[in-house]
Amino acid sequence: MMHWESWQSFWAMGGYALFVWPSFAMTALLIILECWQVKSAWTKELALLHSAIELEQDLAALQKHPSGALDDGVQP
Amino acid sequence: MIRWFHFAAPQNFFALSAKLWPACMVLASLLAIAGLWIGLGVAPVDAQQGEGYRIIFVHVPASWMSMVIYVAMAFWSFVGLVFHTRLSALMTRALAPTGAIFAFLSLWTGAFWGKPMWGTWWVWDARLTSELILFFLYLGFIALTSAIDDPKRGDKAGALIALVGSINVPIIYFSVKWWNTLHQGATITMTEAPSMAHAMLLAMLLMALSFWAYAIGIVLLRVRRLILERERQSQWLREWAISGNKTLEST
Repeated sequence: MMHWESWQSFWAMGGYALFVWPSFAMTALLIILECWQVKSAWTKELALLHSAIELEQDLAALQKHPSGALDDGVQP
Repeated sequence: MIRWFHFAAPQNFFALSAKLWPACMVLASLLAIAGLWIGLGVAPVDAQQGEGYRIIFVHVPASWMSMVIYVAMAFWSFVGLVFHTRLSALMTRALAPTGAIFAFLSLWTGAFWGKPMWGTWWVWDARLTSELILFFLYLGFIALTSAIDDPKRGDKAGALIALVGSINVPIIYFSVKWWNTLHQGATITMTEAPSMAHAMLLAMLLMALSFWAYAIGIVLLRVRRLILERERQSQWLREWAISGNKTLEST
């Protein structure tokens, strides 16, 4: 079933190693980089959304209890 | 009637894609393992090209995807311009980077295949040149849409470049028939039985399906990020975020 006699012959690719492996390696590299980039962009965007919501909730609380929320010891 | 327009609304699509993209990635991994196993481990040596032919298992699927993705971009652009669906432009934008990557991989693996078989990394013939133009069209789309600040205007400009550029796709596909070229003819055609060994054909189809599943998975995840960006002000997205990013009921 298996085509190769040894790992050595597999890596040698019948003398075409320098052409076969860079092709597969570049494909793997770009796919990994793309996954990482898309995933991290998603995480960043999600964090932005959450911080926007938090800010809004803080503002809403401030409007409800203006004195309490601004309790930083500074008198007007 | 399938409720296609139901999923054209971002909140419904958002719920659907949450389950769909991880499934696509799992499928893509399984297909890639099977395809690489058969393509690199089991498939016999090629009578003319020796072991060097194995580049086909990434080159052909990547080239197919580079064309398919551009057609998909043209399709979504058309839908967006005609039906004014909000999601269409996001789909087009999400497809472009993945298409660019596959076009680059087509050129890269093609160069590494051309060098041992033709004796040159590159020739300015019809197939190679039209694929290079496809790569530049992707880059042009990305540059143009990201240079326009107003999202709606950017969407429209992008849709136009996607539609006009799609004329290049049949040119790439038929270039090996229309012009004399170093590039060999189509490996798989609709009309003729494939001339490859069964294991070779199987490996190529598995790799092609794997690239399909990967492309759908990564594009869905990118669309989800674009929806977060565009719909930041909308109530449904806030409710989703407050509820701990739980999947919305798609009702």
